[in-house]
Amino acid sequence: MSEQQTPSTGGGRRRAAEQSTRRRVDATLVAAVVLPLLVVLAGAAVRVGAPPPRATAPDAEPRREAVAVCPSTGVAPGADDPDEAVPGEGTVRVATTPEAAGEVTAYVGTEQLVAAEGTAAPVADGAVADTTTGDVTVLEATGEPAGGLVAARFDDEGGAGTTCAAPTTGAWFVGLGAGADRSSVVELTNPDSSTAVATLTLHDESGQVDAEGIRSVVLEAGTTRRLDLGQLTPSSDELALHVDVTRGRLGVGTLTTTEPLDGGEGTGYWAASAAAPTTGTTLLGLGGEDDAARTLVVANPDETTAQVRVELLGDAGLFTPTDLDELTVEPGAVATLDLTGVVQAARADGAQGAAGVRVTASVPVVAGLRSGSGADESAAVVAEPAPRDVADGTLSALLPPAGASRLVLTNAGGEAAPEVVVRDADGAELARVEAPLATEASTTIALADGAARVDVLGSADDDLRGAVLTGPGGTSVLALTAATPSDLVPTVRRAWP
Amino acid sequence: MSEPVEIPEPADHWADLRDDELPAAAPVVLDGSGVTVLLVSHDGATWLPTVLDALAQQSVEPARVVAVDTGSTDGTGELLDTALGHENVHELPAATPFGAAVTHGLGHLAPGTEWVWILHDDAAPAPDALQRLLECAAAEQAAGARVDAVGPKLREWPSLRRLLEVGVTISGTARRETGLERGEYDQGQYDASRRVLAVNSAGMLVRPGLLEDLGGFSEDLPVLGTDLDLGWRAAAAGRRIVVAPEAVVFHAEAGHRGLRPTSLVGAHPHQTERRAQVLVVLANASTRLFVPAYLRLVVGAVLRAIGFLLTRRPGTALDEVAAVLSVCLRPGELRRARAARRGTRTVPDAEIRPLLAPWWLPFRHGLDAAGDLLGSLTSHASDVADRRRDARAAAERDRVAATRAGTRAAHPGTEDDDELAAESGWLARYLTSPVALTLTAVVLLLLVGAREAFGAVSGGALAPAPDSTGAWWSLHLASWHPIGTGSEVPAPPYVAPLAVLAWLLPGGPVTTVSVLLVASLPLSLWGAWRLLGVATRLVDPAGASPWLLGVGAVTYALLPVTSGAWADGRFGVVLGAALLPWLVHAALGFADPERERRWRAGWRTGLLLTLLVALVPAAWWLVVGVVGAIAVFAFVLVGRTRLLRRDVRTGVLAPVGVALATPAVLLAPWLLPTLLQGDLVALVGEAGRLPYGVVAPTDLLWGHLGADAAPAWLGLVLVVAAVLALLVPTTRIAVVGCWAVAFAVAAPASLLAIPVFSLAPGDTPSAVGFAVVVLQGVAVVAAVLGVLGLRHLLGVPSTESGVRRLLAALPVVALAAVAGTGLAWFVGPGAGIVEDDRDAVIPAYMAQRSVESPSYGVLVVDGTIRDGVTFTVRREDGLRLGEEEIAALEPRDAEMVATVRQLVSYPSATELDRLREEGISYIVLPAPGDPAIRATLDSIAGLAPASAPDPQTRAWELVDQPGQDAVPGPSTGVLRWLLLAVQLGAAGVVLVMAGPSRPGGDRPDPADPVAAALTQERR
Repeated sequence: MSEQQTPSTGGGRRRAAEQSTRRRVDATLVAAVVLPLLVVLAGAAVRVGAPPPRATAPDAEPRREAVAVCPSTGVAPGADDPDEAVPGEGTVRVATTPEAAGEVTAYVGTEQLVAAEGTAAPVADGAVADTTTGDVTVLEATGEPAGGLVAARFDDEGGAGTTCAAPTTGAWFVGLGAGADRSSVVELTNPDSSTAVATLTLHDESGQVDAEGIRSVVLEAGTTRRLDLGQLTPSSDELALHVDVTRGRLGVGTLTTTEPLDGGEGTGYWAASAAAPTTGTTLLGLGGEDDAARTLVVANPDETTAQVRVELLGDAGLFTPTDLDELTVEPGAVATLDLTGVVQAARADGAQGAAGVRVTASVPVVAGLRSGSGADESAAVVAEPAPRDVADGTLSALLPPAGASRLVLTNAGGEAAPEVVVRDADGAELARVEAPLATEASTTIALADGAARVDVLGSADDDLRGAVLTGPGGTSVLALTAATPSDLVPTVRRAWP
Repeated sequence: MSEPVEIPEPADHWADLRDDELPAAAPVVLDGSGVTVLLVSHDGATWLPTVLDALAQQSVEPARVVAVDTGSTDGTGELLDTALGHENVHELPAATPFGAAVTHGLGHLAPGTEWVWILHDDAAPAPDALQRLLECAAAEQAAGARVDAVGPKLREWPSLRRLLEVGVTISGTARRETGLERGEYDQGQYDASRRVLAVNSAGMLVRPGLLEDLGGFSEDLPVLGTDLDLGWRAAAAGRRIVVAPEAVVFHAEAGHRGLRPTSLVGAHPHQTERRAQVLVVLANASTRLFVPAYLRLVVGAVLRAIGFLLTRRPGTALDEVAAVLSVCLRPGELRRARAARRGTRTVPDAEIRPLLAPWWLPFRHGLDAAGDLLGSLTSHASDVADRRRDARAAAERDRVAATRAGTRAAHPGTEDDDELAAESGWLARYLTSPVALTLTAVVLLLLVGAREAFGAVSGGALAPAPDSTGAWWSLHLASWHPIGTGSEVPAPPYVAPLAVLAWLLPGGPVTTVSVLLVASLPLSLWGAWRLLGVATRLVDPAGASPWLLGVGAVTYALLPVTSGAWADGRFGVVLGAALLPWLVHAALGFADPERERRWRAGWRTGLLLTLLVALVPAAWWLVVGVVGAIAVFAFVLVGRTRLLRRDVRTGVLAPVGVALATPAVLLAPWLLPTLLQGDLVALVGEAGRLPYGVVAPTDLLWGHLGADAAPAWLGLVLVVAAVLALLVPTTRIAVVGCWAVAFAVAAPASLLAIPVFSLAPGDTPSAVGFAVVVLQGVAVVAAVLGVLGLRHLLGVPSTESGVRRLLAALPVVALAAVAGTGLAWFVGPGAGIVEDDRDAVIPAYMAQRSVESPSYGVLVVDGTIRDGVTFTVRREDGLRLGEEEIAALEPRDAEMVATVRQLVSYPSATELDRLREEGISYIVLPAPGDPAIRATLDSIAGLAPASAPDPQTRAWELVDQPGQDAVPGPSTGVLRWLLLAVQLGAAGVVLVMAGPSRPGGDRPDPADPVAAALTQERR
């Protein structure tokens, strides 16, 4: 720096100085060009990217235990204290995959399920074990049988039934009622040894219903509570219910009882549940005759209006009925759409058929479909996809002890050719058929009288959904249970501070 | 030795010592026949002729002069032979202690000797000295008090006027006390004979009986301290020693001053003297006072050593400690010495006590020394300030003279106005300076912009400061911390300086962080102003206009803010940027022609670099890059042979090496464990939360470190200006230098960008953010230099056309626009610091309870089963400033990971037991938690739900709580203590070496006795 040339005004001196320092000046010029280039090169290499995230996929480990909660056969609405009412008789059927053997312990009763001594029933070879009880039953399988635990509750007539589901942390129900002709009772069961708390939210056609006493429903360990919607909210025909379990987990069942105002025969059936609102819902199991009344019920918990489009699941694939408008559902409200005509038309057209409905909404919604009326009323099930990482592609259902049933199967993924295996109560194979299904196609397979369980053996990559319609005219619709031989165990690491 | 030694000319040595003001000796009335002079010599040829001459001129003639020479090699023996006759000169080996030499001499006394007069070869008595001593003894005798030894008044030789001793005593800190002021002139103020503890053996008139009774001078002591020892023993035996101030002996104190290196004194006269004095106190102290004296000496030695270190005398400090250690480590010697003295002790302590120095005397000396030091430091500082002001004024005069040469005629009287301004006070000058007023406004605006940093501040990379300074100290001291599941990761290096600062500042850590952040911007401005001033003066001795400097400095000071480092709480970058100009300024001292100043630059740069590295460890690599580039340049320019010449090695390379190595030593308690544990990311990191940020090449261009940065064009303008500055020929070399520095910074930065470090919580890159700020800073310097060159090129100050003026002003305006916009942005939208998201999910009651003990930890589980679960263990008051790096670098705890994994999938009582062992009281699942995990935790029997403020956040409490001592507190291992000791010692050394030069000049060169004699003040 000390040799820095200083500004000079003398022209001659300057020239002389320039000549004597020509070499140095040249070097400076060269450096003035080269150095910025070097800096640019070095700077371009200063590229600190975000490190790729650590692999966070969970591990699939063999399932160690499984719990299913079977609701009681239900109590009629209108009882003074639904909790005190004694349910009618019924049967709980339980089985596991034919490959597994072991025991399933059943805890029966509405009080102190945990403290009660369970009844251990051996399950093996795909045989079905029956427990005769109309009460709430918690089934617990540990070890081998846990992966394929499947159970169902049937009433004493053996027709109406529902699949027993694992306790959940949240569930949605639509198509419930609190009216004179249709009224529902919610049954909450806490199968665990610690207190559970749930927040219930009701929606009707005008929006969220302000109901007392359901904001924080506390269930002590191993207890059951029943809530009569008719006692919670003023008369309403179309109710949607959200059970948000804020603490613990609960088995939730809703029994809807119909009492036609004209004095005709009524019935009771379990409403289909959805885990969470979605934009695409597949509803399977349109019970009753072809011309039975069909009502699509859609609840929109979102804060914006939902535009709902309906397609029918035909034998060959999805199709949109020609004369069907979009359904508009206001935020927080429940809306209905009459599908009687379009289903009847589709079924009348032998080439089309209508095994179910596909609902596509602009925002996440919960949809359900009610078929028939009076004694024939039933609700389609929400056929949710099986979790691919833990399920092995097998779907199972237990059938009622008596009466013929039908299996409705659809394929939401690519082409699939599942095998349908029908077994009797001892696990003996009655039939094994292949059911090739094109994309979005559906099929209905009649299951012979005497069949106790049906297994759909797909591959884990298939997106098969199905339902079983029981009873002579389709009294109730049972969801298929996906066998889940694995449990997800998360990868764990310390968080950044 | 056999070669005849040339005897010096018989010069009139006495002429030097003749002192007309001395009172004339009284007529001889005393008889010297009872006196034998005992002259002990060793290599004293320098002084001996004078001494012998003085002896010959005594007004009382002694009976005999006996000389004992201990192995002189400089002709002393020959001088003595000539003067006294061979039979009176006794040769003894060089290692003979003083006591042994005297004992030997006692065997050759004249018959009937009553008094022995001991003289040293460097002690010349005044002509009447012996007479006065004898008179005094006689007078005392006549008064009825038997005297066993009489000592003269010692005056300094060669100054002759200054008093050395009028009797001596010793203090509790084993310090030889004369009771005199330093350099006190003899004006007869002490001319009354009195009883003293001891008199110097030089000129001591002593009864041979006393020496025989007490066993002579101690032979455990080489030379120094023997007189005090003898005096104390005599006093303890009930003997009297008197000082006779009328008798004067001139003493050169050759042994004490190290002018005469002997095997007895060794290479460290100070150490030998201290050792002797310590031994005297400990050997003679009564049994009752021995332990307090011992403790006082040990503690005192440490305190004195620290004092010496603070005054940049590490050698003396070492001597001090070594002296006390050498006594303490030889208990046998001490025991023997005490046993020997017990035999002659006959007098109670109380009789000796008045002869010893009062207890408070050492404290007064300490106060005096501190006062002196403070005084000289202040005067030094004002000297420096004066010098700088003079230099500036001179430069300003030159500039004014140069620029006004043509206009002076047109504006007569301007110069007078200037002088008037220069003479008026600083306030007037300040108020009349638009630059100063503008900069004041800028600083005020900076403070307004920094408003969020007032008070408790945290957010982004900046964790909240702990409540007490003790937390920082304990973090720094401990080698094991109860953080997370327990960590041996060392505390980050900035914790120690922060702790020191927090200890000094009222208000503790919270205030410290706030003050540091708020002050960093004005500090950065000031540093940049100084640095730009020097840089521009190097290019042009007249320097740049203050406006240009101001604009450049403000632009630089805003870099940490406009880059987004401020908003992201990256305090390492913010404070590092404030330190950087000071560091570079200090490093410019390496170019100083004076070797001493280069060394000081080395220490200062090392100290500042240590602070910078403590805040941004990655910066060390950038500095190495710059040093490497300069080394290559120097290698090419001057060649290897010149570069490796001894004077260059020790005068240039060594200070630079010291500067680069200082951080390694000063930060050893952090560096060594980090290396041992292989936490390499810490060496390329920066202060604050990990993982480090992403940097793209365009960020370098904009000068951006994150999303919260100022508009991109601000940084771009600087880069463009730095490129355009290359076009200005007058300052091209300097600007090219800036670009070279930029390359030297960008190159290591590009290397730092390569590695990715895998830590337990995830992967992180190195911290390259600081390089972005440095590159922008270099661009500022280049731009300022370019503008300076352009102004010269266009010749602005002359009365040129408006277009040229406009052309010259344009770049300044562009720079000012950058600075102004940056400032406006900072005061307005850019003032925010990102909100602190730490501990947001922890319910207050949990936080309150966990403060009670580290065993009441909170396990925070986040994430989902499908996307992975993360956990943290929060203890005490959460992660505070300095703890986040420890938590991030903590190695993977496989056991805890397995426990949490089990807990969220298949929990059992085992997991809860394990949590209890780890000292965890609560589990928190922040919103939105995975419902499956939530349900799983809800189902565990040993967990009770706990409340949380946010309904979506779930919390549990372990029903059986962990014991209060489940997690031990912080602990410190032996290695840590060692490293801390190294750090403390090194910090002391570096601070002293980096401090201003010791008042009173440098240490004397022992090879130059004259210089040594002139500068070394007798304390």
